[in-house]
Amino acid sequence: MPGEKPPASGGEETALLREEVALQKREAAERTEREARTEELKNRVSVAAIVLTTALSFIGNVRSDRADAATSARSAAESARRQGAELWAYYQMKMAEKSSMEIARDRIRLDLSARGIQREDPRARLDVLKLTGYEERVRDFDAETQQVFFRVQDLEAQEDVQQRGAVEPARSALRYELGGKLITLALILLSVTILSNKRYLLWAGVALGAIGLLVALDGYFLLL
Amino acid sequence: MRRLLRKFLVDGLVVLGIAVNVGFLLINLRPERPHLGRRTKARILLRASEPRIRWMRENEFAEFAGAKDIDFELVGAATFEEVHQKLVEEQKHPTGLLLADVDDEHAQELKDGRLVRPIADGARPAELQETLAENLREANERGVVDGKQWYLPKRALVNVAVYLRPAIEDAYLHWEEERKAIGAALKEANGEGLPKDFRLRRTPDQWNSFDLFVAAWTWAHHPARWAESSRRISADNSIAPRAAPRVAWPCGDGEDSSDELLNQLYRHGMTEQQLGQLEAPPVLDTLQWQALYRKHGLLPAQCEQGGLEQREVNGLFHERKLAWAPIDQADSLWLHGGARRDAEAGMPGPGDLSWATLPQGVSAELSGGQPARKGKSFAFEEVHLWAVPVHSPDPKLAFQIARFLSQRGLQQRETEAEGMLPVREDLQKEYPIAFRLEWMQRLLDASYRQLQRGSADTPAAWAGDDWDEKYLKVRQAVVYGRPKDAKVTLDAIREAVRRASATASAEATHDAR
Repeated sequence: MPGEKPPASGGEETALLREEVALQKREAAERTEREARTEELKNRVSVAAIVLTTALSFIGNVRSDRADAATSARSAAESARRQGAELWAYYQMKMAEKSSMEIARDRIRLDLSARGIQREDPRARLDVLKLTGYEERVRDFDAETQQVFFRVQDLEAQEDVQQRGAVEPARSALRYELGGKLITLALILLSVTILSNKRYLLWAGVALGAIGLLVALDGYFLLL
Repeated sequence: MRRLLRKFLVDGLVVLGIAVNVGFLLINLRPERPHLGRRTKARILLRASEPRIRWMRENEFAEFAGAKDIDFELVGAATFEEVHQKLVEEQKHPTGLLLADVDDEHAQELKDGRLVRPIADGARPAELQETLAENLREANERGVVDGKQWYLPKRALVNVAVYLRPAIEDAYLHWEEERKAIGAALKEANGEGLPKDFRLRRTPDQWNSFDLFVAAWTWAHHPARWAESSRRISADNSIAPRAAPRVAWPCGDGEDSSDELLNQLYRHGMTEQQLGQLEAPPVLDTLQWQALYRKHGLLPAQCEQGGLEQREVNGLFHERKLAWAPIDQADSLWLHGGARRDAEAGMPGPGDLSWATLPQGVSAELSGGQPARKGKSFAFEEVHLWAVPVHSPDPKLAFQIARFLSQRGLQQRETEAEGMLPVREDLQKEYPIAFRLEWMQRLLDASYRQLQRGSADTPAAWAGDDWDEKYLKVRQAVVYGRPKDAKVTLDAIREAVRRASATASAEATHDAR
């Protein structure tokens, strides 16, 4: 027909087809490469996440162990303090009883003195008998209260040692907890990495995770 | 190449991650803090007896040893002189002594002899300040030499008077029966007798030299029910109460005796500037009183023979043979016995014990019916310090140990167990709350009152310039070297002092030749 372009020659068509095929191939290669990169990123995120999650689980265990140790030392200290206080109240009660005995003893002595009678005087027999009884009871009180005091001393020492014993596990627990929190943050970053497909987030997550691991390890070594 | 590097990095990180997890797994098996280092051996020199060292090892060092992987070797010394000797040996042949227990009297000497190094060198300034802030300022000052913190205060000791309450009661009730005889004895010495309107004060805390003399006289002339025949000792009624000297202090020519003499001189008003002035009024007054005690048999017979060390005075008290004596806190606890479960048994009837400040020294000489010269209640305070030997293998660890041992709880328990005065400010402020045993409070009350009424650091020249020996020689000559019935007037004492010091000078010249 007049005005129509003459159809492309076979050679040109082939060239065009080849070009199209090449383009498709390039696109396919790029897609494959992109998919491979995404896959690789996903793999790395997965590996990092597995490492950090496992670590987090161990850290959680050990943190709870240390926190329990600190709590247990503190409660042992508190229990010793409470027992000590109770015993001390008992000690004071004994001392009050002793004081009443002492007053009774002194009253007899003052009475004998006011009457001008010596202990050997037969008229003072009953007074001396009572007096001796009071003196013996005062002496017994001394021995008893001393034992109570020793027990109070033991409990106070126990309280003191337990309080000091709580310091180190508490320091450890704090570091494990901080490390755990940093690792959790790192895991969140890794999750975002998968959604956003941004490689730098992976490295940020890995770096944060590494810091978290170091902090948690210091919970064991307590170097800082 | 870059790809390879990246792969290596990634693989490395994975391996590292797995290793960390294995590490955490192992931590889970034993979560307590690791003790990775080798156990360190630490030698500590202590001026302490074997039981005291045992107590310190079990109650103080064991905890630190467990926490810091340290094997402590605690080396004992009986006296601070021995500590000094051991530090000299340590300087010449280091054996790894980490820390030593010294007293303030030797502080300057140890520094000058280059036997120790400043404890401040082992601590960060903030750490040192923190530690010092917990202690009493006066105690810290004892550890400062030439403006630097060479030592860290450990504990303190000060002499107070210990007495038996029934004995005081006895003296108070019966002294008037002896008034005539006491007056006559004193008249012979001062021409007048007892001060005008003298009354024996009810509590030894208010006593002066006259009160002590009157009480000593009364006890020495009255059979004492409260003493060795007391039911406290035996139910055997056949032990008859007897009259005997009931006051004692260290006498003879030992170190304790010279310390006690210096205390008495200062109680009579002596100052450091008067050291060496043998005819100064405080010296004459002190010797006149001592001569009076000796003349009238008011001191134990041992003072006439070999003398008495403090340990022996304490021993007599322990047997209830004494009614009054000077004593420090550590010995007081030994005497009472009730400080800790494994303590040696105390004296019979420790409930009768009480403590007071030492009596005010006044002259026997009267003026207007009252003592012509008045001193004060006084006792030298001895501060024990932690020192770092010059070749200490780890001054930082040494400081850490000293700091650990100065913690409130440990210091409180050590005071309760061993009887030293705490140097922590909080413990001093709160001692009525912290130390709740009634008798211990009485002891601490008297001790802190003594520090307020009169106390100081022993003058360095006392032992340094051998004044201790010179004064002791004069005392021995004036008090014990004359016949028992020799005159005890102030003039007679002055003359005797003059003669004794002339003899001492002649001996010194002879020795010099």
